Amino acid sequence: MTPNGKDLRAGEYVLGTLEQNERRAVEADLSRDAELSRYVDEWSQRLAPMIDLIKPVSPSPAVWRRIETALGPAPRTVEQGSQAIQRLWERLSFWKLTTAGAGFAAAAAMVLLIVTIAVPPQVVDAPRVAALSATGSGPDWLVTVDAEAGRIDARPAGEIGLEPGRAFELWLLPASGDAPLSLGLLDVAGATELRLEGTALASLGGTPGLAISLEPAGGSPTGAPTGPVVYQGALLAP
Amino acid sequence: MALAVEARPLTARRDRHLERLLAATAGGDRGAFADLYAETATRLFGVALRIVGRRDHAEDVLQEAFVRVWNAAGDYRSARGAPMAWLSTIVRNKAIDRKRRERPEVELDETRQEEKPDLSMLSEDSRQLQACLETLDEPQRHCVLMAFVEGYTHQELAARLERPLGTVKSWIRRSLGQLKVCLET
Repeated sequence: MTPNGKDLRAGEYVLGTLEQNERRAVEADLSRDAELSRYVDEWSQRLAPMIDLIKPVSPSPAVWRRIETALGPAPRTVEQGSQAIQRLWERLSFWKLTTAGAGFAAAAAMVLLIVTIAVPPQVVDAPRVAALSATGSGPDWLVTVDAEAGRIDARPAGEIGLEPGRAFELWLLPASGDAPLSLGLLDVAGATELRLEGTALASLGGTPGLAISLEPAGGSPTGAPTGPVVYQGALLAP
Repeated sequence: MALAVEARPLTARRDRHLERLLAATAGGDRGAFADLYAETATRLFGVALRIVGRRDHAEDVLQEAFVRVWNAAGDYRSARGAPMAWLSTIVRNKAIDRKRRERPEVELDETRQEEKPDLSMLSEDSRQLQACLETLDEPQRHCVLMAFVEGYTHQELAARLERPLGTVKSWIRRSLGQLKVCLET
C-alpha cells in the first residue's frame, strides 16, 4: 500500500533527511502516537540492512574502556574491591586516632612513607590501595589496584563536585619520572572499574603513586594531563 | 565479493546469537554485553564514522549508544525486528543528532569524497531490498543511498546534488513510497 503522510514522515525520520527541529518534533510525537511509532519501527527494519553498504571500521580500544567506566563496576568486583577498601578504612581510622592535633595530610603522608618502606617487595602482585587527596585535606578517592586481575577500582570517599563538561582522569606516575600513563576516566557518582594493561601494568612495580587531573569531558585530548592535578596519593601494598 | 558474503555467518544464525546476547545483557550479564560489543562494534563504528565524519565524535557516539544499549536491552523484542537493525538504529540516531549539533547549518566539506555505495555488498537476506532499490531511477536511488549512508538532510542533499530542495524532497518521498510497495510484494 502506498504510504500515507504520517508513514512518509516516519520514513524520512529513519532515513535521516529531516532537519534537527523536525527530528525533535517526530520524537516528541512518538511517545503519544502508537501508529507513528509502529511506522518508525517498520522503516528501521526496512532500511537498516543498508548498513551493509558501509565499510566496517575498528574503534579505538579506549571506547570499550569508557563504556565500562560509564557502567560502573560489575557486582563481583565490587565485593573484592570493598574488602581491600575495608582494610584501608581500618588503616585510615588508625591514622586519625594517632594524629590528633597534627595536620592530617602531612601525618598521613608520613605514615604512607613508613608503610611503603615496611612492605616486602615480593607482595607486589596482591591488590594494592591508594588514598588520593587534595593537598591539605582528608582522603577524597580510594583506589584499589589488582595487578593480577588487571583491574582498578576507584571510588570517591565522599561527595565530589564536578562541573559540566569536565572529567576526572586517573594517572599512574611511572617510577622513571616518565610522562604519566592514563588509566581512564572516573565517575564522581560511584565506583569506576578500569582495566590495567600494557605499559601501565608493566610500570606498576616501582610507581610512586597515582594522580587525578581535571580534564575536558572525554578525557585529555593529548594523552598527557592537560588540566591541574587535583588529587594524588601513594600506592600502598595491602 | 562472493567470498565476502560467504565468509559472513548466515544472517539468521547471527541474529539468534545476537538476540541471546541482548537477552543476557538485559539480565545484567556484563560478559554477554562485552561479547555483543566485540561482535558489532566494528560495523556500528563504521556507520557512526560515516555520518559524523570524525573519529573522536564517532567514538563518543559509539560510547553513548552502547551505554543506551546496556540500559535499554530489556526493551528489545525480536518481534520488532533483527537485533542489528535495532542496534544500528540507536547508533544512527545518536550519530545524526551529533552531526546536526556540530553543524546546525548547511556547511559542506567540499573535499569530502563519498564512495559510491555498491549494492552488491548487501547481505543475502537483503536481496529483496537490493532488488527494490534497483527499481528506483538513478538520481533517486543515489539520493536515498546518500541520505542513509551519509546522514544528509534534504537541504544537504539538494546542495550536494545541485538540485532544488523541492525536487530532492519529492524524490525521497516518491522513493520511500516505491520501496515500501516493492518490499511488501
